[in-house]
Amino acid sequence: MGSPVKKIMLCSSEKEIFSVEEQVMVQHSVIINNMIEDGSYNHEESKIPLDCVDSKTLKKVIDYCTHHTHHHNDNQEDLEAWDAQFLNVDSNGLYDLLMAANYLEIRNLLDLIYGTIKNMIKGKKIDEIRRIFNIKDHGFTPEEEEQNRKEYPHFY
Amino acid sequence: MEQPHDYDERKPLRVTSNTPKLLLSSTVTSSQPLLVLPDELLTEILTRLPARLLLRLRSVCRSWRTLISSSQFANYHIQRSIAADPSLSGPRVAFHHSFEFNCITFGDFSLQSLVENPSEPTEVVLFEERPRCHEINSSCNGLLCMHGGAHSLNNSIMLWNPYTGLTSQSLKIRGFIWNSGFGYDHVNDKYKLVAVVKQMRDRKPQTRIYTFCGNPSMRTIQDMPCGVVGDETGVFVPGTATLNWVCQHMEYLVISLDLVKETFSEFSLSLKDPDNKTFDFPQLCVLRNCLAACVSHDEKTHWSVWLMEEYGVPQSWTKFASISCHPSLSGHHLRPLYIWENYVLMAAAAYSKIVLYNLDHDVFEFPVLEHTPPSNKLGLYFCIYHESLVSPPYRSLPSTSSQIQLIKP
Repeated sequence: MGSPVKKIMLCSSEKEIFSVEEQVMVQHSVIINNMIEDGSYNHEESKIPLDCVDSKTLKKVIDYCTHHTHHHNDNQEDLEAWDAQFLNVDSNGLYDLLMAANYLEIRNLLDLIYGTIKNMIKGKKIDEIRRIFNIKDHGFTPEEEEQNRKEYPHFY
Repeated sequence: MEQPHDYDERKPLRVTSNTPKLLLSSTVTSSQPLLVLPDELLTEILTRLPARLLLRLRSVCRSWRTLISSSQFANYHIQRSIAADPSLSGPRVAFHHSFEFNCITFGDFSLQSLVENPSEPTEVVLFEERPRCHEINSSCNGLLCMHGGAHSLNNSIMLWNPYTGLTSQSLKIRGFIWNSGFGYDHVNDKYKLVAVVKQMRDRKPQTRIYTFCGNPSMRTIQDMPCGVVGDETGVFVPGTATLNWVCQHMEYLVISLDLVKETFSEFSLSLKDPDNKTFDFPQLCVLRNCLAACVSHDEKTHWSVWLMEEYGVPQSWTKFASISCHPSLSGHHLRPLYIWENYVLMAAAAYSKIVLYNLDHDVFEFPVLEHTPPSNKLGLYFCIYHESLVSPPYRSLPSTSSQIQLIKP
């Protein structure tokens, strides 16, 4: 304790630089943890380029990792409430977060997003699911579609 | 806590860095919320949904149908269900009732409805079969291993997924099965039945492995060590690729068959119990994905249930529960089947009835099942299975190409 907090630099697709506590990212991101461990990150010079993560999404990801590092002792309910608030974004935002979490291998954030999308499917009729997943052409012949409809009439 | 097997070691699937952006830019319009996901991520999401819903989701589009129908998806889903969330494959209980060598009734019911409303008769779905000839041997990953014509020399086995209705080919046994076990060799992705088979005349029984795959096979392996006692059906422990039986020599032993190497080994059933010097009538089972044993003490006046927390390590036998006998169960074997949400132990007593034991309150309940004979009749056999999407190898539609019709209405 007492020594200055080690920071690392993350660079978004818009080339915006974010300075984050190393420990925060190491704890959550498998990819960054590996970079630090194998010495491919140089604290004086390196920036980690995240070409497929835009600034808005990267900021959210950093928020998530920071909160879960500093509040991991909070009670479960508070954390869940924070998570729910955190994921109160539109589908584009959710999609970007999923792709970023996947790219950085942030497992607890991935689980959170998978669970959220899973709940978007539950209890929905087929048209809504097709809309959520942007399925414009289902690819079935009219006969197959008719057969599906007969098999699960309440799903339509 | 559920012990995860293998599942946690899966590396998360990663897409290449530029794929997401391509998808994003080509499909997303400004106002409409949209998601187009690579199959790897879609798999992660869909395998978190119950099998019951997944069958329906096959109608969303052709690419979902292809994904959900693939064997990799089915395997991943059942493994996730076993390791992390049993409700994904809503555990059910299959049973048959045999009387004088005839299987009279054959059906299943939901564990949830049994546990949640034990005072009401539990709804039972009867399986139809024409002609009726199959009994349940055991189950694994949602496949029931069915034994046809068990009491004739012309007997055979086949796999059936009651949930999707698909069956495998049937394999001829060529002899009578003495004892057997059914499990999954995850290294070779094969389902195997091992059976001690007695042929006609006075020939020595042979231990054989029947492998279900595109090209089914039968081969004779080293003899199963003799002295197997108690329940004659081997217990498959998820994640270990082993089948297990109890055997008595000087002390009780567990005989273990490695389904990958197809060789037997043994370890001691040494239960260090300060409250009970001795035990008897051990019944093996699987609870919380661990090999477990229910043993009887003092002339069956009470039982204790043990879990082997680390498979194959005798020091890891841990006492899980002590159960005082109920007057109506006195003198019975107790074969645990499942622990429901940490507080209800479901068990079969003396092969004739299902009992629920509340672990928090130390009380038994005796649920009533529709369409089953009175519980004082013998010959009922129960088996836990999962609703899964796993297809039996050499799939064929039950109503068309298989000579036996098995139908779950």
